[in-house]
Amino acid sequence: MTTKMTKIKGLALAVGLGFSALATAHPTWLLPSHFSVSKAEGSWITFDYTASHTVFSVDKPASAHDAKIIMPSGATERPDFVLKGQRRSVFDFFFIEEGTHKVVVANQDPLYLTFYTDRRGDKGKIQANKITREDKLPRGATDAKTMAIIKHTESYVTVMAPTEIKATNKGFEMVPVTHPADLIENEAFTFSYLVNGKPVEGVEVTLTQEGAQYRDAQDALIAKTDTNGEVEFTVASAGRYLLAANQRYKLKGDSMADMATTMLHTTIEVQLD
Amino acid sequence: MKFPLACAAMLLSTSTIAAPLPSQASLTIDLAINDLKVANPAKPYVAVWLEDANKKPAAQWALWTGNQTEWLKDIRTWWRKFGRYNVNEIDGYSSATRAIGEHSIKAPLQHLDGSELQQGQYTLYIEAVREHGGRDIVRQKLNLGEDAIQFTIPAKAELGQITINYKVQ
Repeated sequence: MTTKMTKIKGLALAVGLGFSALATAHPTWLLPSHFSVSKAEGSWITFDYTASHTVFSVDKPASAHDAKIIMPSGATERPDFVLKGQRRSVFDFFFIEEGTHKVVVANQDPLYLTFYTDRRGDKGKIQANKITREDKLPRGATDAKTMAIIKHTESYVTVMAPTEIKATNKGFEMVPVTHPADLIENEAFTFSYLVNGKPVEGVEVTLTQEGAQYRDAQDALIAKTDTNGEVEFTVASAGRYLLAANQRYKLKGDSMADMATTMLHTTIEVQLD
Repeated sequence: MKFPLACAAMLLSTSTIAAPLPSQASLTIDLAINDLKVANPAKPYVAVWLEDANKKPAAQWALWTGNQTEWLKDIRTWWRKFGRYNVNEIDGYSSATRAIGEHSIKAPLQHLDGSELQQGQYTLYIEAVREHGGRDIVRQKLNLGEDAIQFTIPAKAELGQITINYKVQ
């Protein structure tokens, strides 16, 4: 009972701390030029990657140098070309292997923020990980907790028939229940959210169609994951959507941080019926 | 010994449920490709297929796309339901694109697996997609059985009037 109480407290603290850190962080998005390939000789697909508060608007510089393509076979490839501009990055990849590819831009070097209470009892934060914070924390600081902020941005491209997408069971991840190549307007589809392979309940997930600047409201659909870590959405019109979830979780045995926040953004295509 | 027996039992049970179509049954689909009176009109890609009551492809009757595979995905519903699972056989199904005008398809009443189609409820799909143009999709439920049926589907954007004629003698 005691341990449970502590855990809940810890989580509440993490939620409180995470909010201020995330409010300033621009969400990232990744947009493939095509989501499916039928060309027998293979096809080039180009990707836009940027950070923006508006779905599929190009805004802040973001580097795609960490972009990777997880092939249907499970192998990981790098893009064939990566260009970094002032307001977006672009990368291209030649898709020919049959099956579903997961395309990911995740910052390999998370932003580390250490939160603490100073001698007067005021809260403070510094940019430092668990190792560097020892030198950087003000004298007499207590309750030091380091959060790793990870931006994980992804999408899926399917060549010919779709193949299964498996969980990695590492960190916070979205595993489609309805295959991303099978999302159809007016048909319910389901996604599951896991932390280290275990379903997480109560994660708020938003689904926003592109083009919010051309309508009066965001009209985002919001759902919370159930006990199976699943959310279900039904959308009335085909198009490109951004699926976004943030999750804070404790890290065990991590040398750099005590907890992590993952901003997990997935671009999906909902097809015409 | 067990396996052939089970197979025989399965065949027996299906034959008691499903009945073959009348021996003289035939199905004709007449459709027109509209003259859109645009400069450089592209010929639409057209797919015509049949799904069974479980929404599984039962027959592939037309795929007017020529040899290109790149744009097959743009016949979106057909690609999702049939094309992407049958890429190795696409050559066998596809034929040249068709010009503006009327076309008639005599649909062989054969299942994809080569067997004769059985009596039952089906859905006929006709999907047409044109470069610089739009997409038409027609879904028509067909009860293929002992009775003749005829449907006339009003013209759409890319496709003109469609007539489906199922005759039993």
